[in-house]
Parts: sequence; C-alpha cells; structure tokens
Amino acid sequence: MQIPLQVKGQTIDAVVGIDLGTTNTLVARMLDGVPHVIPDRHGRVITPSVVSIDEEGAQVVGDEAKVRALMNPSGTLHSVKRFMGRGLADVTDLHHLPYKVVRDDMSEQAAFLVHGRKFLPQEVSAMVLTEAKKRAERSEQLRIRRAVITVPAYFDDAQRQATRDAGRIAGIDVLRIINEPTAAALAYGLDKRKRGTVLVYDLGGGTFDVSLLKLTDGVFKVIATTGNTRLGGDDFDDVLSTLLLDEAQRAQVQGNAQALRALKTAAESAKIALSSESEATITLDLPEVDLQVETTVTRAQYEAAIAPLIDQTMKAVEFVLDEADLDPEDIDEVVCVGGSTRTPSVRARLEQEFDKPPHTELDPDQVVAMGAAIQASVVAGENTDGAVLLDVTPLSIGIETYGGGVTKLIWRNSPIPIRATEGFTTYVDDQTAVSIHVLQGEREMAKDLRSLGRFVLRGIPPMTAGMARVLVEFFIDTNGILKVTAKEMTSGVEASIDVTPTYGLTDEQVEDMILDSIEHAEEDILAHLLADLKTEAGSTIRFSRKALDKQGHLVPEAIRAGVEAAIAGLEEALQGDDKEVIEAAAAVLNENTAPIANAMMDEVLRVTVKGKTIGDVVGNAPRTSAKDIQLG
Amino acid sequence: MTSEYSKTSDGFRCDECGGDMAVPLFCDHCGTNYPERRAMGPFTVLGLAERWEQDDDAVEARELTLAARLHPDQWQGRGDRTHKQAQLAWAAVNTALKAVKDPFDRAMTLIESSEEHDDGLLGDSKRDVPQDFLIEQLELQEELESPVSDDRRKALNKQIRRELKELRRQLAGHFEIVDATAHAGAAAGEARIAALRGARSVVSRSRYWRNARQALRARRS
Repeated sequence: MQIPLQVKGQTIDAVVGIDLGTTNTLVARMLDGVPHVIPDRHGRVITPSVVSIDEEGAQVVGDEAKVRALMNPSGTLHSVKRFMGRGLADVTDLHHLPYKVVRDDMSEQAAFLVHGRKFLPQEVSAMVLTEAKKRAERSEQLRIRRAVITVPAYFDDAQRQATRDAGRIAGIDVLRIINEPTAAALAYGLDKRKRGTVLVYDLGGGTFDVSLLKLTDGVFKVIATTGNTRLGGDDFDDVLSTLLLDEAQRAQVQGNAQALRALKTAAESAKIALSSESEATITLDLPEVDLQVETTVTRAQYEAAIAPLIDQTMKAVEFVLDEADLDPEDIDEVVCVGGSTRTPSVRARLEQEFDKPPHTELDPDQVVAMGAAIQASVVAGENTDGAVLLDVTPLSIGIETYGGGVTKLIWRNSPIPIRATEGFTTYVDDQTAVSIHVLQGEREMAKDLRSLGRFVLRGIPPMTAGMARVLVEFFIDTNGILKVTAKEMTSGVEASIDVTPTYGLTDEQVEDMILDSIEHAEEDILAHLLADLKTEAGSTIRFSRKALDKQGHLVPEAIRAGVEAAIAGLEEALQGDDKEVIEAAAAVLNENTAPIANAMMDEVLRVTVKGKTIGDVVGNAPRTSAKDIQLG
Repeated sequence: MTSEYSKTSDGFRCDECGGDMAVPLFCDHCGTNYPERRAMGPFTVLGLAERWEQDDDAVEARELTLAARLHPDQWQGRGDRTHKQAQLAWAAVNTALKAVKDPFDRAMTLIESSEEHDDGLLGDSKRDVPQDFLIEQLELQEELESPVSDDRRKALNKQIRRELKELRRQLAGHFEIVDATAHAGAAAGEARIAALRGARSVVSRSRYWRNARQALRARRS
C-alpha cells in the first residue's frame, strides 16, 4: 500500500465508471474522450472483489485478501455479489462456500458471519468499492466522489438498490446504475459501426446476461434483455472441481474451509489453463483432510462438463431473439463480455449460432468499466454530445391480488423510465389503511414471484367501503429502481406510504452505515489515511507471523529471517506517525512474506501445463488484451 | 408520414418562464414538463398526426430525435427537480410510444378515443370475435398448457407471425375508412361505425394471437 503526498491543488475531481463484479472490480474514467481503466500504482487494473477479515476485525481487500484466503478461508469473502439483495432462502449452494452465511434479522437478507461479527453484502461490497476507489485515487491523484456503477441487466429491484447502497456506504454519490451489457455495447459502439442490431453476450464471474440492442447514430436502444443472476465462471470452477475429485474424495473435502478454498483455487487455475492448453495436470495436497490427488483434465473433458451450462446460456440467447421477434441472421454484430467468454467453446458456440465470429477486440474484463466511464461523463454533463442510452426493465412488476394472484402493471422489457398507475379502494366501511404487496417476475402466482416489498397506505379518511379512490403510482427511473407513491383522490388527502423492502435496507439504515464508515466521517483526511495505514500494517504483521509460524518450514532459513527482520522494522515504524516510513516498511514486509505465500500455494496445489509453473498460469498480473489469451 | 409539432409564430415558448424550448415537451430553462401540464395525448406527445396510417421509420426517427434532445441523462447535472421532471417527461414519451408504435395498439388507442366509442355506438366488444375463432384459440391454449416440442413451437411461431401479418392487412383496410372520416362527424355514419367495429374485432383477435405467443415463450423459459 502506498500513499501519495497530498499536494493541495493538484488533486483532480474525477467522475468514474465502476464495474463492481462478482470476481473483479474495475474503475475507469475518460481521458481526452477515450475511456481507460485506471491502474493502481503497481499497474494492476483489477481489484479482486475479495475481502479478508482477521480475528481482530482488520480488513484487507483485493489481491492481498486473495493471498490470505488460504490461511483464513472462513474469514475471506468472495463472490459477495451473489448475495446482494437476497434472502438466505435464495442462496442454495452454501456447501461450496468456505465462509459462513447467516440471516440478518434487521434486513431479512443473507449476511456473512466472520469471527463472530456480522457483515451485510452491501457493507462488504462497499469495502471492495472503497479499495478500488482508493487505488485509483492514489495512482492518478484523483478525488472520486461521483460514479456510475454497473449491474447485471437481469438484476431485480432489490439487487439494484443494494448496489446503490453499497456505493453510498463507500462514500460515493452514485449518479447512475447502468446495465453491464449496455455499458459494454457503449464501449464497443463508440468507434464501431453506427447502425445495426447488436447482441451482447455477457458471461461474468457469477452472472449471465444477454441483451439485444439497436444502434442508430449514437442512440443505444435496448430491445430486450434476459439472463441468470446465478450463472457464471464460478459455476465453471465448481464443475471443474468435481472433475478433480472422485465422490469419496469430495466427501472428504466437504465442510473443511481450507480444503474447499484450495480446491476452488485449483479449479480456477485449471480453468484458465484450459482456455489455451489441451490439458492440465493438477496436484492437490490437502493434509488437513488427509488427501493427496494428482489429476489430469483434458480440454475435451472440461468442455463436455460445462456444455450443459453453455446450453443454458444459448437458451437465453434464443429467448431474447424470440422476444424481439428476430432471427440469428438479423443480428449484425455479436459482442463477448466477461472473463468467462475467454472459454474457447463459448466463443465457438456463438460463432456457430450466428455464423460470424463474436467481437473480442476489447478486453472482456475491462469493457464494462469503460462503458460505465463513458456514461459517467454523459450524466456528469462533461460530454454533451455523448451517447444516449435507452434501456428496459428486465422483469415485470405487479401487485398481489385477492387469492394470491398477480396483476402486472409494468411488463418486462418495457423502456424505462416508465410510469404506471392503478386505482385501489377500501373493502370495509371506515377502513383507513390499504396494504399492497409489490412483486417482480414473470410467473402467474404471487408466491412464485420475488417480493419487493409491502406498502401500507395509511391516513385514508373514514368512508363507506368502495368509496375511497386510492391512486398508486409506480415509477421505474433510469436506474431501473422502483418508487411507489399514493394519493387518496376523493378527499385529496395524500396517503402516507410506509416502504419496507423485503430484502434490503431502509434509507435510515443506510444513513447509519454511512455514518459508521470511517470513509465518510468529517475528520481530517490525512489522519484517516494514517489510521487506515496503521490498521492495515497491523493486519499484515499478524498475517506474516501466522504464515511464518504455520508455513515457515516451507522456505529457507534466510527467508524466515528476512520476514522476522521486516516485521521488526514495521513494528518500529508503527511507533511513529510518518506515513512514508510505515508505508515503506509495510512494502518491505509484503515483499519478504511473498515467498511463503507462494510456497503455500505451491504446496497445496500445482497446475502443470506443458512446463509452465503455477505463477504463469494463475498470475495476478493484469491481462491487457483479450488477444493474449485467445486461441491462435 | 409524420407531422411536426405545430409551432406558433414565435416557435415553442414555455408558458411558465417564457424561455425557448427545443421541443414542446420539456422546458430546457425551468424544467416544466408539458405532457403532464397539458395532459397531452400520445399522438400530441410524439408530434404525430392522429391517424392509424403512419410511416414506421418516421416514428422510429422521431423517437431517436426526441431521445437525443430529451433523455433525462442529459439533464442530470441540472439539479434534482429538473432531472425528475425530465424523467417524467421521458416516461410520458415511453407511454405514448407504447400506445402508438405497434399497429394494433395504435388502432386500439384510436378506437378508444373516438367519439363513437364514447357515445356507445360500437356495441359490446365481447361480440367482436367469432365463435369458431374462440374455439380455435381455446384449443390452442389447452395445448400450450403442456410442454411443446421444438418443431411444433417453430411451426406455431410461424403461424402466429402469418396470422398477425394478415390481421394487420385487414386493419389497414378498416382504417382507410376510419382515417378518411376522422373529421366528417355524424355525416360519416354507418360506414365509419362499421369500420371501427371491424378494426376492434381485428385488434381483439390479434390479442389472442399475441397471448398465444406469450404462452409459447413462457413454455420455454
């Protein structure tokens, strides 16, 4: 971690686009009319969406959190996006996870229990956002207050609100929430053909979207969208990890956080290897469950195993074409977005379906953040002749009717913003309140739909049953977020409305979290940076000690001595308040501890791909171009 | 065939602040939102002649021009009130497009806003659809309650497209009379009423086919 000297007058206020992904988070901004992803001071453009929290409650985010996952599996949270705006009942595959998921009574959401403390998905996402923001601020001397944040197109209202709340908790004024495939189209559309029908296939770490857009002279109009918010590269990893172990071995690993974590890392690296190689050999050594495995997986085996997942995505592609009443030959361009589209068989299936190779010129990991940056400059008023986005709502919205049915008020794929009104009345004499249950989804019965919230209209003047005329207005704004207002027409009294989101936070709860978060407090920024730095340094020391203690035997004595010395150096630096000294000492310690972390990784797993070592395959180095990865 | 917004001699001027407006829907200066203020109908919002016959490309072009000028993203930096009004104005454009863009929806919008409809001269809509058509649709609905093979689905989709195309052709015939007699008043008499009834029957039938298409889609998701 490095902190630039704060030179007054040199910091630029920047409006950025942020891709808050299941696995990675990226920040981009416009420079001379061109979007570019902001690297940190080490040149890394990707902040892994991983948060590691140790026993003392200290948090590390990003690459370092990823390294700590092996030592602190139950305290390292990844794929948090899957839990945004979700209840516990929505999350089915908990046994895959090395960390503990519980129900938060206050918000009815799924939350994480780490060393006895509860964290909401919004809070964890806010930590990721804060880290990504800090990295960008430090490397380019920026101050980031305003941003456009992207979400999967198929995110429902609760998931969108949770994302916006995460931004607010991180101290960001969220100008807009935009859909990931739409952002990608924007990034591609800038210097691509100006007219035509484009299909965006967006397979990310944890979510899948497909959107159809019509491009006409700078207007990007979404015709239809569909997706699956629980399908992505994570599932490819899971499928691959089942190939690595037989049934008995899987049972052995079950329930052991450390072994599960190692298995997931092994699967991830094998997956990446198999995008460019025909086979990969994986060596897993898991002493904690008494298991040693060496398996070779061929690309053919892997592709056969993930074929059902790709079939699911192709069904969605057909669905969206059908919805727009178009045939594959009507599509002018196909665009690949999301890291999982590096998988050669995904590209091959798209080429087969549309009879033309999909676009992969822009890095599939970066293209969404780039599009968000373009939109950020438009909504901030910096780019006045920029593109216009006309998007749609992915899911229908309705209200529960008597008998558990549903009346739909806004249909899926309706252009937004959109407004719909519905009249209600009272059932009994002198009734002063009406309760309304708002639902989202396509099924016919209320119980099969996602509950967005229950709204109670109070303050209706007493009158005969059926006389009251309550007009309820549903309004979906440009962010795809629903607002409900109500008025009693006969008396002119505006009925007050209590909004209780089913899965999510009220405005007050978000305010409290904002006040809680250090990031937003009205104190001296330099003092904060110092406090942050000290907490992080303390955490680095604890991690290094633990690594030394448990895994020190893996490395030569000289390295152990180096770590000891570096710990002492950092401890000494922490006595003082000189940021640069602490920062330098922390960097020395990180450098010295790295061989142990690598040795740990090498010890539990080894992926061999024709003479390459794991470092070449897994690597945290940024991949700058999709072409590097693409098959020749 | 689109008409322009009817300009007064001094262009579009805001009632509220007297400023110039690019289109008579939203004031660039004070943020007044006209679809709401003047309770504009869908054709007025879009600046189109109030008739069924429209040039699809021209309607699309109008939507894009309006988007470039009016879309709320461009008003975000101008304060919360202006942004909110711009969202409402654009929501009104979306509502208008929904009423006007699709030929069957456009037909229904025109039928329901006709004097004959208001005066109850079109009779009960329940009798618009012939019995044998209803029986055919009921059988189709029943079929779609169970899984459908891929081939059958493709065949049905093809049939639905064909039926809708034919209904659209019939609609054009009815509206040739309706559009031509829009300002004829009572003099148009029976011919206009018959054309409106015919058109309403076509729209009702189109709804059955569109529902069938929805059911077919739901079958696969």
